[in-house]
Amino acid sequence: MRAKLENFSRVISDIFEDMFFLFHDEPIPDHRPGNRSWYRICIAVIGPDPFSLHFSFSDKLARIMAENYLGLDSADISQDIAVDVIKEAVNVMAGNLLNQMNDESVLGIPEYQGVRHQLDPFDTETTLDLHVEGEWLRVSMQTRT
Amino acid sequence: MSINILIVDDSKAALFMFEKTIQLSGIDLGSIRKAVNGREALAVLEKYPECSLIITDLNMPEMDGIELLVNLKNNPRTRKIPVIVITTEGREGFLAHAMEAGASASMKKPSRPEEIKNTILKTLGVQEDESKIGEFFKSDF
Repeated sequence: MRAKLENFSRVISDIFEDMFFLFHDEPIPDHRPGNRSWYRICIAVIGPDPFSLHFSFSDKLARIMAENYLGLDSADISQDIAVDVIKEAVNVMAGNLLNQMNDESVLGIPEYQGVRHQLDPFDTETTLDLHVEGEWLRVSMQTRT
Repeated sequence: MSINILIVDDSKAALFMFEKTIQLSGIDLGSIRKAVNGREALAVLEKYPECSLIITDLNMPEMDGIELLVNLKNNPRTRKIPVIVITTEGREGFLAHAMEAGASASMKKPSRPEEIKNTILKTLGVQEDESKIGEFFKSDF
C-alpha cells in the first residue's frame, strides 16, 4: 500500500505541474495544517484489488487550482467552481495512477463529500500529505471488499 | 469550412477549459455546444444536427462515452460524425475498446492546448492555416 502511495505522490506532482502550473513543496518538519476548511472528494478503483482514494484539499488550494486551470480571477471562483475543478483533478490523478498499475481496474465517478473542518487522522501506511504553494492536500487509500 | 463542435464531459470545469482552448486555437469555428453526459449529447444532436466533430470524455455518469459511441454509430444520421475520445486512462486495452466502438482519435487528460488543436485538425483532415493561429499557441505555453 505504501509503495502504491509513493508512486501516487509522483503522479499527483506531475498533474499539479501539467494541469495547474503548481509545484509541490518539500514538507516542513512538524508543520501541521491547523484550522482550515477541507473539500473532500472520494473515488473508487474497481478491479482485482479494489480500493478507494479519499482526497482532502484545503479550501485555499482548491481555489488556487481553479484560478490556474480556468484562467479566472479569484473573485470569480465560487465554491461550486472550486469543487468542480478538484473533482476533475481527482479524476485525472486517479486515472493516471491506473495507467501505471497495469491491471484491469477501472475508475468510478469522483464523489464530493462536502466541506469538513477536521482532517482524517494521518496513518503512515495509508496516508499521504502533499504541500503545494504553502497549502495542503491529504490523500488516503483504503482497501475495499 | 467552419467547424461545429460538440464537447461532452461531466465536468463543467473541463467543458469550460476545452471551450476556451478551442476558441483560442485559431480553428475556423462555427459553433461549440456542450453536454454533460452521453444522453444529453444525443439530445443536443437531435436539435442541432449540423455537428461536424464530437469530443467526448469516456468516464461519465448516466451514459458514458462508449455507450454514446455505440449510439452514434448505430444511427445513420450521426454515424459519420468523427469522435475524439478523452480519457485519463491511456492504457492500450482501454483505448482499443473506444476505437472498436468507432472513435476516430483519442486524447489523454491532461492535454496541452497544442495537442488538442492538432488532434482536432488531424481528425478532420484540415490543413493548418498559419495565418489563423492565435498568439496563444505561438507562445511557449
